Amino acid sequence: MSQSNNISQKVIEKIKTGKIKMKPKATFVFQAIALVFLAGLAMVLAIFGTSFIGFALKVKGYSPFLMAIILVVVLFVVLTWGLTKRFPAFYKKPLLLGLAIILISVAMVSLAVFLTPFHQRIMEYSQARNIPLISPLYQCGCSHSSCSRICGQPKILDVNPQSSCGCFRDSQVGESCGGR
Amino acid sequence: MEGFSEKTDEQLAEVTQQGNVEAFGFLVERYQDKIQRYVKRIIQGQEEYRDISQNVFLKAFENIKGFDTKQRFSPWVYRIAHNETVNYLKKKKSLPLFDFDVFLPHYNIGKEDIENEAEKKLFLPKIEELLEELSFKQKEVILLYYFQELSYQEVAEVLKIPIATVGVRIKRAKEAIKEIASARGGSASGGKNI
Repeated sequence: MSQSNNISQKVIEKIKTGKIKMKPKATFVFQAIALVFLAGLAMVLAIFGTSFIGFALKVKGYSPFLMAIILVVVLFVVLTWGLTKRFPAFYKKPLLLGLAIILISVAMVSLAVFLTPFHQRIMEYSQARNIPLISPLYQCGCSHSSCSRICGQPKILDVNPQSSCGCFRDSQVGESCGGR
Repeated sequence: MEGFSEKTDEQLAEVTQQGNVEAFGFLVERYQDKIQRYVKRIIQGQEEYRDISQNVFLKAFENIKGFDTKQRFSPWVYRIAHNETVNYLKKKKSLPLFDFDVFLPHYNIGKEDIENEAEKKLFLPKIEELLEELSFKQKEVILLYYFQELSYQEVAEVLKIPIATVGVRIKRAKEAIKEIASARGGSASGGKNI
C-alpha cells in the first residue's frame, strides 16, 4: 500500500471516529448573510458619515471634530472594501476598480442624502431628546454659535471652550436668541 | 463503493453532503495524488506535505455542505489546498502581505494562450526543474495552470484574484523561467515560447 493510500485511509478513519464533522448548511448560509449584512452596514455608515460631514460643513463650517468623522468614514470605506473583496463580483475585478466602485457609490448616495432634509430632521429630533451617540454627534458637529429653534422651543447653545462641543439648553427669560 | 466510479466529482460531493462517507472516500482517492503533488511542490518538498494534504481533505469534509454542486469541485478543493499551504508558509516564513499585481487593472493579458498540447508536455519537465527558483505566486499559477490543468478562470477562482492577474503572473513566470534557463546555459523552451 502506497503512502498516498494511507492518507485516504487516515482521512476516512478520522471521519468515522466522529472527531471531524460536517458543518451544517445553515452555518454557510449564516456566514453569507452575515457578510452581506456587515458589508451593507459598513457602507451605510460610510454614507451616513460622508453626508453628515457635508451637512456639518454647511451648518457650522469646518471644525477639528470633523477630522475625526473623516477618519471614521475612511475606516468604514476600507472595511466595506475588505468585506466586498470576498464576493466574486469584486475579487474578479482589480482591487483599485472595486475601491473606485465603492467610493463613487458612497459619494453619490451621500450627495443624494445631503440634498434631503435627513440630517436636519435627525438633528432636531436628537436635540429634543437625549439619544446616545447621535445627540453628542450633532451637538459637536453641527452646533453653531447662535441659538437654535428646535420643535418650536428656543434653545441656547452652551459651548465648551476646551472641547468646542456645544450643548443645547432651554432659553431663560431675558436671554435672546442670536446673543451668543 | 459500487457505482461511485461512474459519478462525477460534483455528484460524489452531493452524495457526501447527504452523509455518505464512502462517497467522500472515493473523492479523496481521486484527488489525493494531485493535492499531495501540489502541496509538495508549493512547500518545496518538506516532509509536512502529507499532513497538510490530510488537513486539506479533512477541511473539505467539514465544509462540504458549503460547496455548490453546480460549480466544479476541483477549484473548490484546490482553494482549500491553497489556504492550507499559505497558512503553513506564513508560520514558516514571511509571505508578502499585499499583492500589488491585483491592485491595478491589466489589459489584453487575461485571455489564455493557445498552446500546443504536445509542446506543453514536452516542456513541462523542464519547467518542473526550475519551479523551485520561482517566487511563491509564480509557482502557484504555473502549478495550477500547467500541472493541475485548471483554466485561467478556475485558477482565478482558486486564488481569488482577477483573471487578468492570472495572465500577468503566468507571463511573468514564463519570463522568469526563460531567464533562469538562459542563466544556466540551457533553454527551457527549446527556442519556442513556453
